Amino acid sequence: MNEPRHTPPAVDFIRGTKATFRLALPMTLWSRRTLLMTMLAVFLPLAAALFLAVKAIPAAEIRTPGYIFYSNAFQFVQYYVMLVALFYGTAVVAEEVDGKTLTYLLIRPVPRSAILLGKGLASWFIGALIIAPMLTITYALFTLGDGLLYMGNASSFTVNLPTFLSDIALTLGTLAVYTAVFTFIGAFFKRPVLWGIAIAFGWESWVAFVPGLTRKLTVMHYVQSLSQHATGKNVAVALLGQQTSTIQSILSLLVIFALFSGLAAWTFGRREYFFDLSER
Amino acid sequence: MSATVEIRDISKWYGQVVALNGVSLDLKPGVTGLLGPNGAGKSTLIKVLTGQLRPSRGEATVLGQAPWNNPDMNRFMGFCPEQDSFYEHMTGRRFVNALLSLHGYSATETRDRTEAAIAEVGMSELAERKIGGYSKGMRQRIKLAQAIAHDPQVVFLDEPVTGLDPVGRHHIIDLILKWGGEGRTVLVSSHILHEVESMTSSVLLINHGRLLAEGDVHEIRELIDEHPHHVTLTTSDPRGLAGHLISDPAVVSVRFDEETRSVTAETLKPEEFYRRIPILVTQQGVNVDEMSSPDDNLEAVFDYLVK
Repeated sequence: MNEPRHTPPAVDFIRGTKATFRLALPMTLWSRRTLLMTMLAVFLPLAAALFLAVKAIPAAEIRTPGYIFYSNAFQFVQYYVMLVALFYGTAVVAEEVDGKTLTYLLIRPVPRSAILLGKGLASWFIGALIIAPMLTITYALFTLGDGLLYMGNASSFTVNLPTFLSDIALTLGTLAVYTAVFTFIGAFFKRPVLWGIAIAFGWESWVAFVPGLTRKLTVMHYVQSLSQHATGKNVAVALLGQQTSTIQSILSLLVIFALFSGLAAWTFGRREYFFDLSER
Repeated sequence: MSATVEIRDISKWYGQVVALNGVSLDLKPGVTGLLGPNGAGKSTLIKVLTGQLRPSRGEATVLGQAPWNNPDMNRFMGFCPEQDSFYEHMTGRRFVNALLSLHGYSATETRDRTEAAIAEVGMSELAERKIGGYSKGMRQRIKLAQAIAHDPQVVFLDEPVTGLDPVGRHHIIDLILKWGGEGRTVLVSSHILHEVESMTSSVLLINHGRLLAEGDVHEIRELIDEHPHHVTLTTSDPRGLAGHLISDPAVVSVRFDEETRSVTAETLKPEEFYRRIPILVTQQGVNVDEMSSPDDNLEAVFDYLVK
């Protein structure tokens, strides 16, 4: 065999993941997807500010406590998180295939699983970068003013902070699980967004609240079980005694995350991607 | 010199479609042309060799390693894809640098190699512009820069000069010749014979997924020239032109069509025929608006070869 001209460095899984993450981060940040998701994210703090402004007008006579708004906001956030994960997760592979740029990544000395993980992490990170400020601003609006979040007495930013931090952790954890699910869908299916919509707003939105064992096949069920907020649908589920314990829910979410991450890596590692027939 | 790329009885099919059919060949350092019409299987063969497609049957090795899903091999291999696809919002410099950063070099070495590759393809002045605003030639050159930035030993170039203007074409052909001269193994695909002729005399002929011939490009050219060659000329006076052409010793037969104002000549000596046309125009005052040869494309050559 002919001797190599020079010996380039080997790229292991960790280095490959880091390098792909650094490559994907600005590409994900400055995408139309991020612009759309940020525009949608503004809706919640805007609605909160409006609610507080109207409530401050004595003539309006609005007696709804702030925590009810906040609980409903949490339900909005659950769907928003699914939407963010759907758009970012399905795009991890699909945008490279659609843009015919996947070739540039596949001919690098980086394991395919590292490419997937690096891009997936970048997607999650940008999603978190949108969601965390959205929740923080909304929370601040409700706790820094008249203490509307706390039921009737001296509430403050700090009193509710533990609940808020657990909300943030749960939200970002949920984003990670859904991103793994939708990344797999993006790597496996040809029209991943359609499949993703069917799963997010069909399966996840309805089956999670059907009594019985089927609901345990949804991410939403475990998220609702972990949520401390009494929102519309999960109040009914809680009353029926259909919730799963905290430990079981956390473990289940971890298993779902690992399973779909593994499936996505397995699919991406073995699949041949074609851009068009003329390439033959 | 031993072979750097070895292919043994490779076949690749997509469902019912056979894209490659029992291809066996060796590539040694230097430039080799992969010649075939569109849809012949050139891109499939290159995708197999770059590890993007898994052969349905047979074995391929590049520098002794099986390419499919083998990232380690990519340390020594560069690839310029046919498709005109980029991260359009990136600048040329960022594009090359970002892809090179996946090769595990330090930040300094990545930067230095990026600059060297960009300079090699003559894009230093334009590297800060966004790729979305590049001309076809610039895009092709920046695509080549990402293929050679890590100094690969084996380079696969899929239709690298397609759609370029003569100056851009000349520049890229010079680069390819230089890389081949440096001892790299360079496989260049094309569907245009004269493009390949200007890069190398070593060619592989592929059509319908089969390797039809390998060897010297001039033998292929002679093979073409042994067959009757058709040249169509458009003129305001088809009858008059046909009269002049029939008396030419290089011409075997002539047909003309008053409606389309065209004359088709059949010749066994195309080189001689092409030399005489300008003389005919200047000396006899014959008007020729357009000249084309349907035989000049590879489809016709392959028709001859498989008959």
